[in-house]
Amino acid sequence: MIRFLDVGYLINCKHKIKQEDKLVVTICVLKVIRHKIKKGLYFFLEKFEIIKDFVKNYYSTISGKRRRRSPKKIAKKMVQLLELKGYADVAFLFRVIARYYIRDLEEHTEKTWLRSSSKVTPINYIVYLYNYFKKQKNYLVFPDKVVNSIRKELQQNNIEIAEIDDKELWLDLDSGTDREDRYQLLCIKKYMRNNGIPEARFLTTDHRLPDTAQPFENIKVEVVDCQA
Amino acid sequence: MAGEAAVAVGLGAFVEEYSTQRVNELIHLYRRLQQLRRRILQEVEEEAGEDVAEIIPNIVTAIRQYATEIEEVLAELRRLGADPMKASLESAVEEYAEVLRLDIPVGGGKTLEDLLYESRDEVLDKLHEIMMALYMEYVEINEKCDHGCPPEAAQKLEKLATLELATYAIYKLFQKQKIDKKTAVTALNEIVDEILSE
Repeated sequence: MIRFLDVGYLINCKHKIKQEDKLVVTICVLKVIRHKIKKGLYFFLEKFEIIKDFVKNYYSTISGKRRRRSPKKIAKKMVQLLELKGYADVAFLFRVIARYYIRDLEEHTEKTWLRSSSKVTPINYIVYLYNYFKKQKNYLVFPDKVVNSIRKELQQNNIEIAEIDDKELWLDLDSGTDREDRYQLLCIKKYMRNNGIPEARFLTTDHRLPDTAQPFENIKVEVVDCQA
Repeated sequence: MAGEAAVAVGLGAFVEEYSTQRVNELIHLYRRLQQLRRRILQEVEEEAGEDVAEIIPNIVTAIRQYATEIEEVLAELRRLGADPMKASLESAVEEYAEVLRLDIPVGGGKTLEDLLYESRDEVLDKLHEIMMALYMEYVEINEKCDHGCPPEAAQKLEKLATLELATYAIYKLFQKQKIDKKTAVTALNEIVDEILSE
């Protein structure tokens, strides 16, 4: 049975599926991630002062040494803080930073920060990220860097990336909060039709997705919880 | 006993005196550069008055005015075998790395880190952003300048040096209340953007 992976699954879960399953990620999923990173970056740069205040407020009561963490741990904490404050778009950006090895960013961080210590203080880390994205307009190419890093990890895990001509799929969709989910489902449907696949499973972390997927009878949605 | 006295004053005398003399010669020259920097900053500050837009052109003019004196010091440093550009760059990387550890005491039992988390001082926040931006750039250029700086790196260093002097001049104008907080923050913001640009 082919199992397709959705955006939520890709950014929340480690790929520990049984070897006999064929895992597929459609190009549409990567496009959604790219789009969401672009949006997250925009809001991170736009609302930076507010976001910095969240960090200040949260960490001001914690003593100096206890504030210091690895960049990945700070990114994870940022996800919680930002989601709590209703900044889901920026939280997505930090979730991806926490989950994936984004080569250019990791190498730059290593070279700048981690020469002397593996731990940094959160205010330095977010100011560093802010400058990193602004530096030579890095925010323009960062979404592609993210997608390339995810592609690499998928390839290393033998997860197929299905290229699909999606031009009409996105344009045909009306707006709505589940637009990105319906787009992913339409991409899967098209791939199945093109490859004569009668039935498939769709792995997601989104509890609302089974409702959205109801009209797609031959795509069975499996909700998994792998954030813990 | 005389033998013990000779050992006490003589053992290691040559190497210690030789290196002390060399370090003293270098320190003297670096102090001279520091004095010239202070004079430049003072002139820039006095001439800019309340007009922050005048700061960068004034820095460029002042550096030109003192160019001969600065060159003399640099020539002396080179004569002693030092590479002034490499030395300045390496020391800037070290100094920024140290300041960005944020553990410098700022009085009242607080550190710079505490101040950054607890205060809502926009000027301090901007200065922190600038320090970070300069540090990021210096680390990167330092790698490129391992065996002599390529022309584009040297050009970028010149630009960063001017921006660093401008940051200090703006900060001093704000401290002396010659410019208000909003003007200082706007000017510092432009400096961060300029540091991080191409």
